[in-house]
Amino acid sequence: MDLIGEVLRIVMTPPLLQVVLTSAVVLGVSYVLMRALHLNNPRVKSLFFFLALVTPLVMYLIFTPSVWFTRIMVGHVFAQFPEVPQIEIERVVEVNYIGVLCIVGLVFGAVTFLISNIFSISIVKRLQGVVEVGADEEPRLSNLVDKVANRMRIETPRVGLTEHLQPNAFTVGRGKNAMVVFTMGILDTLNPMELEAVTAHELAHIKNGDFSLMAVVTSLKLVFFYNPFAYLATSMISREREYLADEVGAKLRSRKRQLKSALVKISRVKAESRPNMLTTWTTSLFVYSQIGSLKSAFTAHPNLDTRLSHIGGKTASRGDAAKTFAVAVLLGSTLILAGGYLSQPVRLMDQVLFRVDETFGLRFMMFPDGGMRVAGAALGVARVAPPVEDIIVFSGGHIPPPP
Amino acid sequence: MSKDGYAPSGYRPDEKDLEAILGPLEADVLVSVYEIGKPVRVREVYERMKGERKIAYTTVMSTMNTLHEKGILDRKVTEGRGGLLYIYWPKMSRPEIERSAVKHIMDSLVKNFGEAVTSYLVEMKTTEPKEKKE
Repeated sequence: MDLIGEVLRIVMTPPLLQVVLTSAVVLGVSYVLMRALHLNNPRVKSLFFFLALVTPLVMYLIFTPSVWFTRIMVGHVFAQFPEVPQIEIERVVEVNYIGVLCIVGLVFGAVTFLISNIFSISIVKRLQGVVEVGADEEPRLSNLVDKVANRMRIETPRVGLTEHLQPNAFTVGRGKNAMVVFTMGILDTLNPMELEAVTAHELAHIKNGDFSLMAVVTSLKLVFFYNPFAYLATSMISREREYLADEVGAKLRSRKRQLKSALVKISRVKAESRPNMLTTWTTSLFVYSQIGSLKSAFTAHPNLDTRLSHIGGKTASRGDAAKTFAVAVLLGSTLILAGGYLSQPVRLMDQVLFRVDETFGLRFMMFPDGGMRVAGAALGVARVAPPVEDIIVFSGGHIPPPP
Repeated sequence: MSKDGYAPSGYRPDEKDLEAILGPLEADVLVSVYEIGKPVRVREVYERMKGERKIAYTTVMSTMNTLHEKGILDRKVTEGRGGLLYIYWPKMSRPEIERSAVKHIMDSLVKNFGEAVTSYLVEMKTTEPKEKKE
């Protein structure tokens, strides 16, 4: 068997390609549609990008990941009776590497989701050396958080401090358990008004439910860890949630100017350190709102200029509901129309690129029986291409055409 | 300042130990730093002191800062697990601090009340053996 054939076989094994394609289509189509309709509401945008992480799960329902798969090898051709060729067929049970990949991802995602919901605060406290401070210990900071929380009509979160010198603030946890953490660096860098603006930004993350959303998003990213579009979608969602928090936070007593100057000050402090990679990575699994991370490259946070230009602007407008509806309808119909090709990309490839006949070696994909029943109703109706035949065939040898 | 050791700004005759030459909190923090016996970050000192008395994290932080400004603790920026932070260590051992404080106080006493100090020292020297005999 040649190498290219084997690589193609692995790449095209369900549901790898289907997951990648689905998220790419959802992400691309929703992005283009929102661009075209001038829909700039970060809340709506982040939810559409979120769909790019959720829809690929449908592919797992159709192509249930499994550790094994049966390959039917077509072997020697006997020509005892030239009129009736007899083909030796061998069933080989092999390890399905893609299935293993998918299952590993599912386990990763589930574990991360559980951990981030149960232990995230204690893990982050330990990793970052956060000390929780009470109202009597640091009255000014506690009063500030209390004041902003009251104005936002959310429960006052707990307050934590770290002795780090880089200016940074973040929130972790949700609801009653949420904690907003400041570094000593940020307390030293910002004036009280700017600190209030930053606090409002951080509490806006709590108010917007970003911890819950981003915990799901991060878990899904790990479920589809092999999918580059999952990473793209995650950073796009995170970016929109940042804009949203900037907006909601700055709306309060219009602290736009202070938030801007705070962001400028924070970004001006150059990080000359290379923080421990493992700590940074682990923290990023549970902390989604670090205000100080905007200075580093390769971050999910938008860069300073884009962000500053966003804070003053007006992103939510009156026609948003109608636009959202339009995007939803268009995206939905695209998915339904493309459903057949998304679930069977080989068919598209066959037809567009190869124009091959039925014996082409790559034609081995199909809906397994179980998967068809689960997702069959929607996709079966919508499938543009007719279903392929039911036998998995990968021709190891050459099959002579019937006489 | 560090060359001449520690020069206390005042002396409180009614206090005990290091508290006579340092503020009470400063003395406690410094003792904790000595007890830990290695370069420390603020949180380590806080965790240690928290067990013995009610104290705020930020208080420990500012006290250590004061001790640094007074030239008792030295510090440098290091790479902690989560980012940059200060680690502190004492510039002098405890006997060295006590010695340089005594030297500073005595120098000042001699300078201002030279005669009284010398006569007192002489008096002390002569009465000392008698007291021991009694």
